[in-house]
Amino acid sequence: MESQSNLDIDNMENILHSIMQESNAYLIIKNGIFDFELSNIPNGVNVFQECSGKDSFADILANEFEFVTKYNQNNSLLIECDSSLSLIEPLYILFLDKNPGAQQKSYSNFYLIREGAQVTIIEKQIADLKTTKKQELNIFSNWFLENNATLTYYSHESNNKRPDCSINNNIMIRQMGNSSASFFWFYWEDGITSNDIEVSLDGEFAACNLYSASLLLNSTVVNHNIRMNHNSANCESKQVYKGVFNDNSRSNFNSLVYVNKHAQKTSSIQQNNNIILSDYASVKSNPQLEIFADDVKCAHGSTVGQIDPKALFYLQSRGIGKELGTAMLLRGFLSDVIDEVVDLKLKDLVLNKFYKLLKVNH
Amino acid sequence: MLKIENLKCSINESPVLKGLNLNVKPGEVHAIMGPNGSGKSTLASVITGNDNYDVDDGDINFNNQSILDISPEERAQMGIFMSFQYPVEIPGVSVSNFIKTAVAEQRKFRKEEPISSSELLKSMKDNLELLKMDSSFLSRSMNEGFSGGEKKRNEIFQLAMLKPKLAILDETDSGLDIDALKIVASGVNSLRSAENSFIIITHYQRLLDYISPDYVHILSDGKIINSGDARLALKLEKEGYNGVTK
Repeated sequence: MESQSNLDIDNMENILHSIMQESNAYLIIKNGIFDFELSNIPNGVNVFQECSGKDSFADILANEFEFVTKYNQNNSLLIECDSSLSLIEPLYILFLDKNPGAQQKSYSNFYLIREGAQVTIIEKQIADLKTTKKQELNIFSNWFLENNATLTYYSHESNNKRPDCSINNNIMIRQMGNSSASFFWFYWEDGITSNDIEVSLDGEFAACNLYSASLLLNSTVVNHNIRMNHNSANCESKQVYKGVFNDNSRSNFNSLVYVNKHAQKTSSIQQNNNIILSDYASVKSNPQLEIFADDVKCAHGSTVGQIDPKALFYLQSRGIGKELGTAMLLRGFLSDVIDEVVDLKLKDLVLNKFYKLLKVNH
Repeated sequence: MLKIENLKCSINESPVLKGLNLNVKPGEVHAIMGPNGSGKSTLASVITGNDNYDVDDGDINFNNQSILDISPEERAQMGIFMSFQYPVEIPGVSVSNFIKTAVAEQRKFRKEEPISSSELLKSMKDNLELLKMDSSFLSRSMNEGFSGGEKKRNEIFQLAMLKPKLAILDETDSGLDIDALKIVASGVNSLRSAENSFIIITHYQRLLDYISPDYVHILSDGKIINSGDARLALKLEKEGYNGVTK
């Protein structure tokens, strides 16, 4: 069952083994190449990879993904979820990266959720980037949800990132009628991450929720550039971006919600809240709306502030010390995102990581 | 239990308490009454350890130990509790999680065995019942969207759960209708014992109809100017502050 390429990093081994033991659905991509033998592909999931002419999905690229403008042809990967797919457990997609030589890498991933399919995907980037030279990763992720497709997607980073590692996520999402998608991204590692997300709601009654929670230390930077296009009527969108920033960490949040003149009965929420814990952290928040229809509900709000000293004193007055009190307040602050996570294992992982970074036992 | 000697405090260089003396023994209920600006809430805040106020002179002793250099959380762990006049909202932190953590921290400090979940839950339900609060409170975020009466009852609920030695009720009766007042008062009365003490800070006689104090002190311009028994409060009600100023 073990692959021949050398997975000799403890962390990678542990994560990989625990997932392979506990789960029946996992896709393993090693250094950009999909490993058919090591993976456990559930019924209803099909994987294709553009690799010297084998398993080409050029027709799907030309049709379903004709909206995609930028991608790297080499080793493009397509994960297709059939209409028949109704997976109760999550599908793990693990990107293992051990490539000390390369400094700049580019991956293109296509995800096709067919009509009526329902799936939860948990994606992990497990990269051994500490032992390599400075890395730049450009990841193109393209999602197409057909009518009535339902997707919940969770993503978080591995534990081995160098502070000068930069990751550029280019995410394009296209949703057809009555489809529903919720995306969750968690950030707590070093490095410089840039997320460019464009969503197109192209069928009526589609819903898209984008959730993100960040707890940044050191000189970490996470930037978000989001464009949410309401191109059809009766669609809903929600953006809940919450960040906690310590040390010299930084973030720019730029988000534009565009409502087409035909997109009546649009409902959209744009929420960006940030707490700064140090004098040197900095956050810029820039939510924008461009609305061309007249029967819409569009809410937006952004805040940048500090921990409420009255709330902290209230906790202290009950015998809860400053460190634990701060952690409780921050946990409460991030609850808008964390409490929406349905997968309990992932929720535990996020909370454990979070409390570990805040140096409290919980 | 609590001994305050010649306490002088200021906020932003502006003096508020100007030489306050108070002696509270175990089992006693003391009422402190005074006009706005007399320093009532300052007194409560300083005992609790709010560092917005500077202590310029004097001392506060709790069980024969000065607490001026002790952090607010340690004072709470030692057994001091304040019911806030304006309880703050804490979104995302549920009432049950808050109580669970506070109880655990205090037991840790006192080197007691941690309480089991089922025992804690039973205790929470019993105390909710005492204060006529529905169990749905447990899953709500602390004070978020609570009415004034609910906030005050939540304060007394925490008092019941934490069982402090000294409880300071800072204008607990403000904003309460008569029914809520009766519930709060009966909750406090059922917690009174020979081992604990209460300081009740209030404007009005009304609460003292239900929680009868052993001593009443009149606070004016940062000092206690008159002390007596429960009848002093009645005199204040009839004659106003001029009538009780010595």
